[in-house]
Amino acid sequence: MDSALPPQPGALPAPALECLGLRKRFASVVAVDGLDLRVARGEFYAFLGPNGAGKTTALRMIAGLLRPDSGQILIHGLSLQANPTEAKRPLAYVPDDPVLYGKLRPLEHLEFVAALWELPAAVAQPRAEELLQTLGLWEKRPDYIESFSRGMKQKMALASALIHRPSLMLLDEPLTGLDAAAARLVKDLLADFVREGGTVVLTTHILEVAERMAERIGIIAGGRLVTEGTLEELRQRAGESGGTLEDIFLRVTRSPAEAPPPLS
Amino acid sequence: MLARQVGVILRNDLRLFWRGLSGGKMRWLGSNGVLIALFVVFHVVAIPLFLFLHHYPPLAVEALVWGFFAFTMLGAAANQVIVVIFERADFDFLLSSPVSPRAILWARLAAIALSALFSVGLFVVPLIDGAAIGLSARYLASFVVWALLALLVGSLGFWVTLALVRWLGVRRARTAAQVVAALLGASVFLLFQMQNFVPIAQRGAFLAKMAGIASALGFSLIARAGRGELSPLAILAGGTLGLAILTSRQLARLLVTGVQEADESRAPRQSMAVRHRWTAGLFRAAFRKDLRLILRDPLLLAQILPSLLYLVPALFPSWRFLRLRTLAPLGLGVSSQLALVLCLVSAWGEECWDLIRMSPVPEPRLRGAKMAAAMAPSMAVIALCSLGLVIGGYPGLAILTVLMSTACACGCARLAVSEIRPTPRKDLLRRGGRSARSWRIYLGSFLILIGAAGLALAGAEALYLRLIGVIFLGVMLLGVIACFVLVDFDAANFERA
Repeated sequence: MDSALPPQPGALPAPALECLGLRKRFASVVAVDGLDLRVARGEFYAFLGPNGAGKTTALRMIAGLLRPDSGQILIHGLSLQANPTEAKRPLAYVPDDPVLYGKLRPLEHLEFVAALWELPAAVAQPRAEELLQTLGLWEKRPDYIESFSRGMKQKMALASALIHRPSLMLLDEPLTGLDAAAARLVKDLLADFVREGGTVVLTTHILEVAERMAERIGIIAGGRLVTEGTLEELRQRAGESGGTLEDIFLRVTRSPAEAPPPLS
Repeated sequence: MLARQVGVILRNDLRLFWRGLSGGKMRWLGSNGVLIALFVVFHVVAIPLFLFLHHYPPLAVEALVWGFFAFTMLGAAANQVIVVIFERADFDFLLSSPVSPRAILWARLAAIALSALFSVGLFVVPLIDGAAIGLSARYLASFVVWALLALLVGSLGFWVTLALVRWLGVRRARTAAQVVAALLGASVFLLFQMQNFVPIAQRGAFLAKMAGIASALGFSLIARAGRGELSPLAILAGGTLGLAILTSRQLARLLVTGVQEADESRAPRQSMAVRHRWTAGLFRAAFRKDLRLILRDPLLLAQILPSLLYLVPALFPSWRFLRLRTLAPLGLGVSSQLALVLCLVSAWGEECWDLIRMSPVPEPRLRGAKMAAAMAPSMAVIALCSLGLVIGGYPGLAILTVLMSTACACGCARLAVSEIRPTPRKDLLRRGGRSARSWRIYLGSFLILIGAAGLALAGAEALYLRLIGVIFLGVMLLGVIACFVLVDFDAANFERA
């Protein structure tokens, strides 16, 4: 699938995503605390962190769903705050719990999403049909989405995200609740998307996915980016040659004092 | 053991009920200030009324009053059964625990009875207090009758709803139960309003017949129990407790079956090929999407029905004076109320605000599409009423109805989409829900009221009444213009939600 926009011709293109000093506070809790992030075009970036570290808040700010208290978000060099309409155009966001219209059929849902991104019918309709076929939902097109299983809803959310051919995809735990075959399908889709020039920023608790698929990995804890780099760079920084990502993750995010006591 | 288990579940249910109702003690006091004031006012009216009455009112009248409360409570109980059976996701959890199904049912029954009890408390307590102070302290027994009646209708509500589940299946029963609950709740009100179609000379006979029906249904026994007569009280208590025990025993087994059936209803249906005509363009796609969601949600329609059940009969008295011209205020009232409620549902109850807000589309355009979609059923109502007026020989009034009703519906729809507080659809229209209340909704209701009154008066024979009607309509139009000029779109509620 040729899912991504071609890179800008001319001088050095702006990164797909740039966050500068991003900060968000909910009442007394600082969810994201001065996050600096730079993801190049065509890169697969995995965003890891323990529960409550601020991953979802960061992604929701990048998707334009939450206003940051301070800091800047640039998508392909365009400021999300200053020019939200244009900055959002190449963006797709798949939340961890896909929110879909239960009483719509798949094509009806995609029709509305395509209209939100102002796609002409001649482009959107074949694209929607192609996506449903690729994701194995074609046979389900007469049914309401509310009757879908969790995995099918996740695929439906992916179809919604891909219909406007985004160049930057933000995915929050996209593999949660998927069976092995569906997870494989999603991973293949994302790999193809990146191969064709698209950019992926993904959060996951399945460290094996980040280890195998991501070119760079960022680990966030307490709202701050505590370390970032390729797997090899993270290993070197953690002083563990040959250690798994899980070892590095646990070492970076938890001090020995924080280890829970064993169950009695 | 059973009592302890019931206590644990009931305590949890009441805590959830309280938190859902209040969202904090101070907020509860703030949002219910009007109710508290009404409670005091009703006492101030009821106590002197009974003091001046000197003697007991006729038993038939008391029976009729108890009948009114019983049916209202039955409506509330049937509604609460739907919440308990279909909308609380804790049955799997509870049934997988070592708690006996009977304990679960008893706790639920008690919660339903309490909700039925509170549904009429605002009116019952001042009446009982007034009768006890003004007539006889024996009327204090009415508090016991009120509680017993709540348990009785709670049990009946369970039977009615579960019977519907068995006859219609879970999916359709859910909708049917809401309609039945709404009809039961409004039945006595509807019955009272029907007297407007009876000639004045026959009204006394009509009311006497209604009182006779109430007595025949056993409400005179309840009325006597309310007066503190021991034997009717004992019969009522015995019957109620007997029915409650029978309900818990017989329905414990059915409850498990019901939950299983609810699970089965989620099984995939047989797919049928559906041709899809693709729509392009934001406005058209959003319009079609919202219209589909409104039409495909029977639960939603069942929730909207009660507001119309009270609105339509409220206009029955004007039939005596206006005859067919009643269609004018009826058209405005129903269409604007529909526009207000449906717009509230499509905007506040939007399921995918995240999807919309992350898209590059300007939000005001979407709100416009939502307004248009929510107004489609209203336009159908306006067309029907106007057609009736034209056929009845009132073409001028028909044109005025089209113009004024459309304006009022537009104003109401605009008010509903101007402020958005994202709320789950099932919580939006629930009776007693606090989420949908705001000054904009009250302003919409005022516009409907003054517009309907204006059209009713504009259709009157007397010139001075017509003039007053025109003034009312002018005020309504000014209000509608203000809705568009002065009320801004508020986008600040998403993060709070």
